[in-house]
Amino acid sequence: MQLETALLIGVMFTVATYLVLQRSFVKILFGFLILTNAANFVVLAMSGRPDGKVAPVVLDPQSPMVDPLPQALILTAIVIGFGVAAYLVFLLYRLFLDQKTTNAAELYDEKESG
Amino acid sequence: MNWPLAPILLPLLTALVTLFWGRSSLPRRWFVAVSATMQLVVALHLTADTVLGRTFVLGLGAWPAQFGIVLVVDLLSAIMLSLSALITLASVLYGYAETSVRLEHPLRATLTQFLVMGINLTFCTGDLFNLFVAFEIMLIASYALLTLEADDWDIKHAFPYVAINLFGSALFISACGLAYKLFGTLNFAEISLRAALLTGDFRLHLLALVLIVVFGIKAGLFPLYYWLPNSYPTLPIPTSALFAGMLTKVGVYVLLRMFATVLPHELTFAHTLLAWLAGATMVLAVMGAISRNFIRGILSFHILSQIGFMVLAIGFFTPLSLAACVFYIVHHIVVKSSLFLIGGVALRLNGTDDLDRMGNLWKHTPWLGLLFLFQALSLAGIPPLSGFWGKYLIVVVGLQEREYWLVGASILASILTLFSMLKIWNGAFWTVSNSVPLRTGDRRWVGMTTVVAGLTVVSLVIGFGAEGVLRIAMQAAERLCDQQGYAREVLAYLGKAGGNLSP
Amino acid sequence: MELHGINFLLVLGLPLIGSPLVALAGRRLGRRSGWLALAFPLISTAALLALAGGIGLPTRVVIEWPWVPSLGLGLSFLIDGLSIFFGLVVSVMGSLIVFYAIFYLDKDEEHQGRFYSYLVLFMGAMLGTVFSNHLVLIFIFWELTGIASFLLIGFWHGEADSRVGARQALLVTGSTGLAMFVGLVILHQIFGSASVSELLSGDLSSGKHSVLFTVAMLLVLVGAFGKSAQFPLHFWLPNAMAAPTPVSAYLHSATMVKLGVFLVARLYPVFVDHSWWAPLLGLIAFTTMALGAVLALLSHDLKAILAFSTVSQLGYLIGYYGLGPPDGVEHDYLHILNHVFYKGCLFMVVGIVAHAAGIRDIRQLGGLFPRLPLLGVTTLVAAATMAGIPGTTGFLSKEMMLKEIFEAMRARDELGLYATACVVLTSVVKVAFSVRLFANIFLGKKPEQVKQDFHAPSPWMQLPPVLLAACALLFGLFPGLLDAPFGALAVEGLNRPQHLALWHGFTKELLVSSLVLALGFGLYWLGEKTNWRWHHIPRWLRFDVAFEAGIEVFSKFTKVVTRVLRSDQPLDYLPIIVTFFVLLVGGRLLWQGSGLWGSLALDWGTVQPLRTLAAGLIALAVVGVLFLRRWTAQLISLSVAGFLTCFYFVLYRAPDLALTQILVETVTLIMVLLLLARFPRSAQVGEERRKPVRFRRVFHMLLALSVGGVATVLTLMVTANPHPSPIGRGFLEHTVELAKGSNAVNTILVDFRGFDTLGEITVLVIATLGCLGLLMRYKRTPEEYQQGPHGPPGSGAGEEVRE
Repeated sequence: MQLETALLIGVMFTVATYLVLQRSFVKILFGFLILTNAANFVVLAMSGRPDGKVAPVVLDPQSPMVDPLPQALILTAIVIGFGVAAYLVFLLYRLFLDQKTTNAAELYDEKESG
Repeated sequence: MNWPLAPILLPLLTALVTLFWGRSSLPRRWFVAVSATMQLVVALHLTADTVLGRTFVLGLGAWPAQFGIVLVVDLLSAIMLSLSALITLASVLYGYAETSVRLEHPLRATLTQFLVMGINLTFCTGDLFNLFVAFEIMLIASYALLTLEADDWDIKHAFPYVAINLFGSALFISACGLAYKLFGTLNFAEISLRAALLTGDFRLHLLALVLIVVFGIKAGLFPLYYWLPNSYPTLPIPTSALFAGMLTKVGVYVLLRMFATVLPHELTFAHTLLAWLAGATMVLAVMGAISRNFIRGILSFHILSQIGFMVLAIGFFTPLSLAACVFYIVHHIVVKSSLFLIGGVALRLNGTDDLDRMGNLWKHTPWLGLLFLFQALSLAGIPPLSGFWGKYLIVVVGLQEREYWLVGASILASILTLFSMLKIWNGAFWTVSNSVPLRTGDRRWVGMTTVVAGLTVVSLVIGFGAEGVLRIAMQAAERLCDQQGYAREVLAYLGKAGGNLSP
Repeated sequence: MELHGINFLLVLGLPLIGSPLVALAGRRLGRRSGWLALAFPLISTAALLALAGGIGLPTRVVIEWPWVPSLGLGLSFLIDGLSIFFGLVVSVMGSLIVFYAIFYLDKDEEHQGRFYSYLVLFMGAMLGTVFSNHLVLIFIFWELTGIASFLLIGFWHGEADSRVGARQALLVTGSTGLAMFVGLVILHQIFGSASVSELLSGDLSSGKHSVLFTVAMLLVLVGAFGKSAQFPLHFWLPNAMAAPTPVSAYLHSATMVKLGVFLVARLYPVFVDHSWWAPLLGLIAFTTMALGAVLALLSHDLKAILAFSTVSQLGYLIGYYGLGPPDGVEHDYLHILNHVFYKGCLFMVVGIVAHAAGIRDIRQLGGLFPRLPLLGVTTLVAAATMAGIPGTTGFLSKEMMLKEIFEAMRARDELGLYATACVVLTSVVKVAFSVRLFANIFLGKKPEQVKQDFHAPSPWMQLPPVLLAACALLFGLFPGLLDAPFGALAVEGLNRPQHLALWHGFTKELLVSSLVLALGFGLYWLGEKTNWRWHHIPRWLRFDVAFEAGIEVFSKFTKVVTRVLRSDQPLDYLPIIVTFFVLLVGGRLLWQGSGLWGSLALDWGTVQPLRTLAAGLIALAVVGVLFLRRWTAQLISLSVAGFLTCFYFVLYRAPDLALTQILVETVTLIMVLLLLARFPRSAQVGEERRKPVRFRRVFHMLLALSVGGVATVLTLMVTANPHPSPIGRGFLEHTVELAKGSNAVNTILVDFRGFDTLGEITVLVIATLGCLGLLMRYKRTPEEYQQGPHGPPGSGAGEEVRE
């Protein structure tokens, strides 16, 4: 276990959640960017304590290495997260173009039909 | 045999080819339709093979099951693949009937095929992280489809959809990490073996709860369903039928897979939780349906209410109730998609789907009315249509398990479903009004109705030939619960390395 | 057996298959489709008679075809006296009604094929219900009759009344049917068999004492009461009169509404010795009977009078079963048949009168006897039957009922008394409105309106009511004729047929009967005297109005529920979902209580200074995003966090991750910069301009903190005690040998789990396409905007507005 990583995860999730619940597009976007990273950190924490280990590049089979699988998963997750983030950026841009606002509260101000 | 790869590869290739084909044209349409048909044939072939007791296991890269990613197609997966192929085909054909080649958005076919790829991968994969990837493919394709043809009104409703699912994805990655640390593996079969040893472990329960949230968002359980009811009505009709049919059922499928095949069966707390959430979902969502006054809004809420029935069956967690769940999924996908398509035809004929401004349909387009009647009554569970059997089994199991409140809730939800279907029927079909236009001159509705008729025939066959479907559902449920059997089949896959490789 | 099977297929299968054919042929045949439809009830009747003769009553025959054997459900049909009796009522009445309808429907009436198709479908469903030998099969056909009735009531769906009436009928009968379904399933589970014949002949004493048995009985009775329009569910029946008259005569008096009676009779041997049976049936049914009669007297519309009197009569029938002794009742067939005769007849008469005069309000009618002498005589007979004048079946029925009641009064004190009071009251009122029905239509002065509009009806149309009235008279005068068929149709445990005779001597019953007649005439006289001024149904008895108002209120209630659940407040969706997550997972953690702290196994010794420093810096940078005001500063803070993350990855011995992260971080930064550059200056003040409510801010803060806490605790808990043999180790061992690469992360990505990477690339491609799609914009006009969701551009829904 890595206490500081766990605490960092906690901080990141807290900040991300708080930002995501805000109304400003900018903050929401930042929130989701942090959220993706926070989730990646959870996976990272699962690779175990790195102290006294080397990167998972097998040069000397005798030296202890960190678990490579979480790293591979994070790599995939980072790229996917990037794709989604890009989409989110464009979505917010489009919302801004269409609705002339960068505030989610203004977006849904009028009464919904239904 | 590499058959399990076909349901994923075919849509992927189709998507890529259409992407480079560019503008919509008649040959391109033929190509997509042929590909969709082939997907259906492949899926049916897989079903036919799995029904005989076979399970397809395919290691990608031919690594042993623990190392690589395996695709596992058992009976349930094959059924789901067939349904997804069927609905895709219907959606594609309906889209052709609805929109002229000139007006078709060039990216719609591409993105639809990508979406199908994600859906099919979800059904096939036997690996937790690969499931995440499949979800992401599916989700990003669904975002893209949601906003592809959206105008400024629709786009607003895409935002909550995206936001909620982003949150869900973050949770899912975290859950993958936790599961890896807990079990030391990501392979479903391996997890099921290792989780069985952790049955009493508190962390297993926590993981189950996190997974309930993650998949509950996908499935649309109360109170996680908010992304759905306002976003689906903004979709183009054929796409909405595909979404309505498949997307939430992917969530239900994964819940089934997780709780029956992967996680230990002793998680009674999670099962009870699912059952009660499901009970709340079916009643509250059907109330939401009644509160709406336009067809697509009503139908969107009904998806959720029906999800409640399926998840309730999972929550009861007996072999019979799981079979009920499978039966219900089969019924629901066909019926729900066709209802959206019927709503689309009505929308085109009346120029709106606001019930206050509709009418004259029964008088002049009785065939459409007949199709609606069949599917709506089936949705409400009127016998002997397809919707009845699932409900019947759920009531039987609920009474056996002495869950009288939940049985009561399901009956209440059925009555309210009937009520809201009558609302559509009275408003759109029976009302006779001279001020409501009926554009039967636009012959496109005939083609669209024909597609729906095809789906209706399927659902009638499910209803009247309940025995066959029920047997398959029972077999699927039985194999779904057989964790040892599943693990044996999957882990027997050794790939090119043979037996020399062990973790 | 073979022969019976074929015979039975003719009875039941033919109408079910024939129904859609009639609809299809209707397009070509138009008005003549009635003649095609007539074939089905006639064939059914003939086949049924052959069947009845063939099986040699009173034996009981079960015909079965497999359907869903996995659920133990077969197409199993029980041919016995009761089902043949009801089957004959259905098919014979069906023939008469279709014949009547052929002349009833106007020449220019549209969609006649559909009408007859529904009628034939209904007949098939009815026959299916009465012959079903499986509890679930009963329910299946039961609901089918409801659907057919729905379609028939709504046949003139242009009228709002028809739509509302149809909906009411389906909602009441459909939902009570569902209750009955649950009851039937419980019965199945208690007794282990859903076969009616096994239930009737088996030994059931084992399951009868459970609470569930009572629940099952109650639920089944709810279904029966709903279908048979018993108080307080009686209100749908009068509104179902929006249907064309043949439908009212067939479904809503002669057959469908008798399904409740049928069900009570079918399961009579199962339930009769339950201690709640008699009080429950007696109270509800006799209340219905009295109430129905009074409401009939208070109505003016001809069909409403008949509808309420049907309600009353249904109460009479069900109550009769309620008071019956455990070994079977004596005269149920007589009561049912009597009602079929006179009510079917009167409905058809009313249809003819309304058709001929164009008026249905009894106050505006009169003096039709010279114009319609045959019909007048028919009505006289039917009304006399309804009133129970000697010489008609009605008299017999009433005599027998009174006899039963007097016996019951002795056996069951209060209940018997109540029943007697209700029966006497009902009989008096019934005499009054019977007299009124005949006298005010056929006698007296002819109003101007009637003179103008009258056109003579076809004589053929008058044939069916005449036949029915003749039967009432014939069997009333020679009741002995009924002994043989009733004897043959008797079912063990249900019927104890007795000899019927016209004259029983000077009995107590005769005395009461005469008294009732006198009082009834007196009541009529009183009504005439006061010009029926006091006649209107008081508001508190308008259950249908209350029901519709209830539906309105419920619809509003659902809107409130939806609003309370914040379904249309997109900004609340995410908080709700996050709250649910926190409550569920956090709640489970807290529930664990003190054990939680131990399971974390905190070990401060593992903290490594460099990593801690980096983590602290990242945390600082991230928190900075919260507190910095300008988005440029926020963005810088965010990027600092991002690049520190790369460093952190390095500390975790993950060089590949660090490289990727740098790349992704840079591109993201550029993208976000481009986005923010497009936003106006107001973008960053947006938040300040609309200060969130303090409560919400605190709530969000708490929520965020809980999510963070849950994430930390979960991480700690899982890492505290990891699985001893993670698969990752295997990759390290085999990467060189099998994947020919020393970097295990790379080999996993491109080889072991290369499929994930394919998916990842696919996601990127789709994301690009999605962004592309976002840039192609459609806009709505303000008017379209008001309309809410309609199809997107290209779907053509809003085309004409758009173009």
